[in-house]
Amino acid sequence: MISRRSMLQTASCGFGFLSLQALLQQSAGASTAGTTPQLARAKRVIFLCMSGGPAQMDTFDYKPQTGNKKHPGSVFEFQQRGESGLWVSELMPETAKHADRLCVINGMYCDTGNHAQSFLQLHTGEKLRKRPSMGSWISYGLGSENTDLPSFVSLNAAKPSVYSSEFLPTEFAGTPIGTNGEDMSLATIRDISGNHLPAEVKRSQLDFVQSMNRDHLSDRNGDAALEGVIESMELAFRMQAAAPELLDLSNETEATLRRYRVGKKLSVGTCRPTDFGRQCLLARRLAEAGVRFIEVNHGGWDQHKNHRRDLTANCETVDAPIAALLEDLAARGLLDDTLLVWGGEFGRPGLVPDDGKDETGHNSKGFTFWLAGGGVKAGHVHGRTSETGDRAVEGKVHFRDLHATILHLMGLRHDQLTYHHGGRTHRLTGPEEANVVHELFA
Amino acid sequence: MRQAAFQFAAGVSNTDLVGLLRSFPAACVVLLFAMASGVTATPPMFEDAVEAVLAKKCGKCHSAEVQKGELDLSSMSGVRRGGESGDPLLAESIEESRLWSVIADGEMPPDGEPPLDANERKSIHTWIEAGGHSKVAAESNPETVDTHDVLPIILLRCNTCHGPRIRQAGVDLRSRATMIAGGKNGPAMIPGDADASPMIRRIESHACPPSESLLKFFVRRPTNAEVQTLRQWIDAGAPRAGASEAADPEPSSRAVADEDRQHWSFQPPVATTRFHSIDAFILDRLAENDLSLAPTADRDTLIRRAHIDLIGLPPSPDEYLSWRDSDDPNWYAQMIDRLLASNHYGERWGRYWLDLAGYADSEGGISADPIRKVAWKYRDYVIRAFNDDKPYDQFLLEQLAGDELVDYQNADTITDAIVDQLIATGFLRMGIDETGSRTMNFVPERLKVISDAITVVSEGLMGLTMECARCHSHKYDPIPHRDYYRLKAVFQGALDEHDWDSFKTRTLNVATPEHRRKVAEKNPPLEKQIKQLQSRQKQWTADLQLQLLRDHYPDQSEDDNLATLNALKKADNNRTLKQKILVERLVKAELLPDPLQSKHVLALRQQIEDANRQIDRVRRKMAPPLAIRALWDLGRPSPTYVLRRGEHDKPGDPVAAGVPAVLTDQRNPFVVTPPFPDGTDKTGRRLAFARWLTDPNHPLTARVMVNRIWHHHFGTGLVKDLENFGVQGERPSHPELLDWLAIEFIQRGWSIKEMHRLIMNSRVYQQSSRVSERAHQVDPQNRLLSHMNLRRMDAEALRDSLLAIAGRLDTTPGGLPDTVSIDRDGLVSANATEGGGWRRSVYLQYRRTEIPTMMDTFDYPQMGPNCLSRNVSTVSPQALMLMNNGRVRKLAAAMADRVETIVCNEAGNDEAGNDEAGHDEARHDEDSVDEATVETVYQLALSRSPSDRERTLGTEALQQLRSAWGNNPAKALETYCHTILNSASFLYVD
Repeated sequence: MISRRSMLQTASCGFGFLSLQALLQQSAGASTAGTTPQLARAKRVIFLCMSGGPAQMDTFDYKPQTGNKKHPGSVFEFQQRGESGLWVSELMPETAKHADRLCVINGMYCDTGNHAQSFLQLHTGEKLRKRPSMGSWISYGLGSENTDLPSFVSLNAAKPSVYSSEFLPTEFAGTPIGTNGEDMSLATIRDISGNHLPAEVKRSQLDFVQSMNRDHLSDRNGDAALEGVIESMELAFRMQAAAPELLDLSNETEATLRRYRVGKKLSVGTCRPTDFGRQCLLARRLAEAGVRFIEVNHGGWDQHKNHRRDLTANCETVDAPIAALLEDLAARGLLDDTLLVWGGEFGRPGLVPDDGKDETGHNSKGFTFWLAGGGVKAGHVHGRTSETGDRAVEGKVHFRDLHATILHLMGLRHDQLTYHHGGRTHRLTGPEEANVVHELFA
Repeated sequence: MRQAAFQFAAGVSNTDLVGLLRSFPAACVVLLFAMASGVTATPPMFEDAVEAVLAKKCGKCHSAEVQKGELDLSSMSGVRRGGESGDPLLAESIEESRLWSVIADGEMPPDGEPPLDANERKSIHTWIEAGGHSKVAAESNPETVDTHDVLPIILLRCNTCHGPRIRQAGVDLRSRATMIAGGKNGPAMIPGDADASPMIRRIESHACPPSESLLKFFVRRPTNAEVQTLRQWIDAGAPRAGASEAADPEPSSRAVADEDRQHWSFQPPVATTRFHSIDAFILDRLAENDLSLAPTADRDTLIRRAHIDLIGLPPSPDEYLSWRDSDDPNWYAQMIDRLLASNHYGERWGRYWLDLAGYADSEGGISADPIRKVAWKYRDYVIRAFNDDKPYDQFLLEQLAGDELVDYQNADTITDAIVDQLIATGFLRMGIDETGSRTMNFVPERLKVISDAITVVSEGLMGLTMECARCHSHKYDPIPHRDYYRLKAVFQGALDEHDWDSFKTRTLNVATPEHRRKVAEKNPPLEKQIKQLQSRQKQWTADLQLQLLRDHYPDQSEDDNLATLNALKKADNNRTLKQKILVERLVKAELLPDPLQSKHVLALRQQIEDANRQIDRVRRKMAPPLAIRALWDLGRPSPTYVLRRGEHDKPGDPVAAGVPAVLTDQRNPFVVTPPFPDGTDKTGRRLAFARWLTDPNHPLTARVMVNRIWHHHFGTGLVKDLENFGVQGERPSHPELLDWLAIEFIQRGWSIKEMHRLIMNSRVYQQSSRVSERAHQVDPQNRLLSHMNLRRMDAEALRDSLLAIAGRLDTTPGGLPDTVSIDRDGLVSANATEGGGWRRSVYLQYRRTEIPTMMDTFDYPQMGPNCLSRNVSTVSPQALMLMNNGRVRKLAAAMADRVETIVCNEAGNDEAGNDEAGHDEARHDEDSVDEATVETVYQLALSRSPSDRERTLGTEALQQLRSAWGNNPAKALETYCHTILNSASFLYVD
């Protein structure tokens, strides 16, 4: 990368020289956040967020009928897959081919079956108040692996409260690409291209603004907001150069686009046409470019009525793209230090086979997440729900345990990754005790 | 009782053992364990094993006297009765025992209370596991069902056809008497004989509710358990409910302990004699910490600060110069008065209130996001109220109960004041409302709308978070579950989930005679014009679609083309596969970028767009429609029931309208009286609530509002969380000051403008934003206010300032919101007005799904349902927008033109003035023009002169830019202006 100094020296027209001194000061960088370094198994996270509450018993938590009386359970066919013999439903045939890479947690549970609250808790650890998002905490703890892109990107982002940095410095806020439900083929980072000025004039324009900003800051004793402005402008400038290329899929082969099902937009019931394939391919490219935390969203798992039809459509939408992502990350050696996380804000109770009903609700007492890569066991199942899948009974993992575990894999200690705000110390896992699930680690 | 009765009903329909056990929790558990383990040794007894422990560790909140969560653990009968959730405390297994699970999960005792030690936990565990025995046998409680068990079912399932609006077959099922009276086919219910009661027969045969009406009236069939309850009640002779139950406030009072009432914000503000000015309070705390106020800010800073703060716009160059050069010692106070008198003041401060109300120009909730056509009348009402300095108590009265202030239905003439009061009630209608959709108007969705209104009122006006209490007693604040429903009952007269108006029918056409005359005179020809334009537009749209298909799919048959147009008329989920494919092809063609479209297509698009503009213009010429988005009492509220766990079909006790028990005392009672005894029927509940809320003794109302005003002046409140004055909220930084301000506010007639004067004339407000080293160390968050906080302009101030500086601000107030356009990149931007400018941001159309991008980028909130304090984020998309956005660049260009004009004029004036002095003296070289340019840019954009250093930097920059732009001085100046508008000096207010 070209340093700022060389940029200034080579700039054909610069008003930057006027503030060379100021510019050479190191910008306020990512804090180490006072964590004890520990072995990091993963460097980045791709969170495949299935909002609405995926039906675990028809995807990864096989619940055959037991006893004489029909009870809630799986209504789709399951098979054991790969060498590990992991059970995966017929709805996920492509992902099933990677069964030996998955680490399935069947004993997830959380506090509430209210979408908004649980979705917030999944992202921030807190269900009622706005708090920094997991991606922001991780960026805050580890900083960025690259200088030209945000460290936290949310694709097809849901509402801002789940990618916000809240009280953490704003440089750790998620950058949305495509907002909820938008057609991802059009989604970009807004105003990313600015061809109205020659690049070098733009740079000197920025340098001039930044020199003004630093003058402004120097009177105000490191005002965090002003520092934030300076940081955000620098990042924005670098993003202009780096992002358009990254978001442009035209150099991907036809075969790759097909594997990811780019452009496929199913619109069935709750399943919205959002081009999930493009998101997964972008996620791979962002991971390669060193983005620390990438959230890939797919909404519409809240299929109350028409459970069978809508769930089928949702699975069909995400199955092949996720498989392609797993395949590519593995092929590029990135799976070793990239942690994939799949799941939603809660699960669903199962249908009772053959009782004629096709409607499910919410279940926060027992559901499934899976992890892959990033130092977790492969082809492994952790925890168990009851025979009817109504609640976790073994190896229970709460969201805060999941958060603690993800942080641990990233080399961060959940009890030490803290931030003082509003008179008390905050952490992602909240005030209650959280447990790292060591059994998941390879 | 009621809970148990319902469980019983649920139980008998479910014949397995578990079902039965659930219906008789305690008694059967005893039985089960006795059978299963054939116990010979005596199991531990409640009285010996746990009574003392529970009294010691839980008794503070769950005793006979204090019953948080309506739970009494002091006796076995209390344990058996359980709490408000209706969940049995004991169960067939320890895992399912609620009592054990709250202990095991560490939920209870709550943080801050002495925990149970290992022995205590063990004895509780052992006791529950052994079956939870007691020396006192369970009372054989004869489960009775009374009307209050039955009415909620009737309301939910039968009310739409046999209630206030429709009486099918003349039957009204809302009371025991009317059930017996029945209708044209005789009685609907025969006490003592369910089998013979027509209502049961009709329900069981599915004649009622009729299948074809289920979706039309948004009802679902009663469950088997509900039918069993009805049967049981009728068979028992349809017993009436106990008389006093509904009005019994006792359970609420018991659920709140005296200690809870001691929380600072639940006590009325305390008058202090220690200090008599803001400065004195602040200085006192600063001195304690060995800090002092920062020096007073320089005049330029104060001018900009006051302007942005009060009107959200920078001063015009002339205004700036006149204040800067004023030698009146009183100039500052005069400036404040002048700004407060400006009509722009209401546009700024009204906007804060619109956030609180959750103002939006669309209903939200469903993807179609229907437009709220006349929501803007409420917006204008708010702006007017602020400009008129309407006393805050009156402002609240009107918004909460405008329909109960005057009997408009019996008024001789409708006056502007009456209309205004009705518009004001739109306050309670701002939340997301999906109940106008064809499928989402069931009771749960209606309850959501009601819950949003309650949130706006409780958090916005009282600083109390009540949302939690919708499902259970508040964990932290002393808000019992029951209190939520007592407050809900306050709104029941108008927001009744069993007597509901969707947004399509809930407008009032109340207008002054003059307004009616204007509408009759002016509108018919204009309406005709619009119709013509619309029909032309429709034709063009069809032409456009056909043209797109012909251009891009030349092989597609004309029949298919026409079929595509027909398919568009259907809702997308009703289209056949073929129709879907056809539509998809059209959409694909539509999305192709402009260069790939034929001239014909582009021309048609332009025509359609132009017609849109024309329609909008004609619409603006019309007299405003008569319709008002009001909320009004229907005078016939259905009874309100506690909903256990917040679930609409789990009714508990009936409750009367009331206010949170923790806020009631003798000084300010809550008294409901119908307002028009000889006129229209109204419950008067909201009026009672509004009067209670605006009573000077109310501990929260004034405090919450002065804190909000303070927050908007200083960037942070004395209480940091504007919406949470409860136990979990942070304590005020200056409690005495807050109380003093609250009392001043009331004494000065609830005048908001007076509060601005009080605050802005203080030394504290006029401080510089420079931070001393010591202040930075001692008080990094500046809670003590040793200097002014630097504040980023919010989205409105930022956009309006840009427009003003560029000379493109159209200051026309009020009326229809300005439309927005969405371009192919999803960028939402405001359309220009007829004069080619743009109006202030408060007048844009805020459709929930189409928030103008610039507003969105700079933290315009998602109203869910409202926003009490906006996020201030600093993220790269903001920087990208300021750097690259085309509209911002155009504004920079407009600003550059303006700068050039000003500089030229000044040069001209100087020349004229200097004529006598001789031409030698006149220096009109580039340098001085550049200096004048920089000076003008700073004055315009930042309301100050540049420092010497800035002047030098600026002139050098201009020179360099000129050469970079190949001697294009206009471009150079534009880039320079754009640069300044990107700076933190512009974005932030010092």
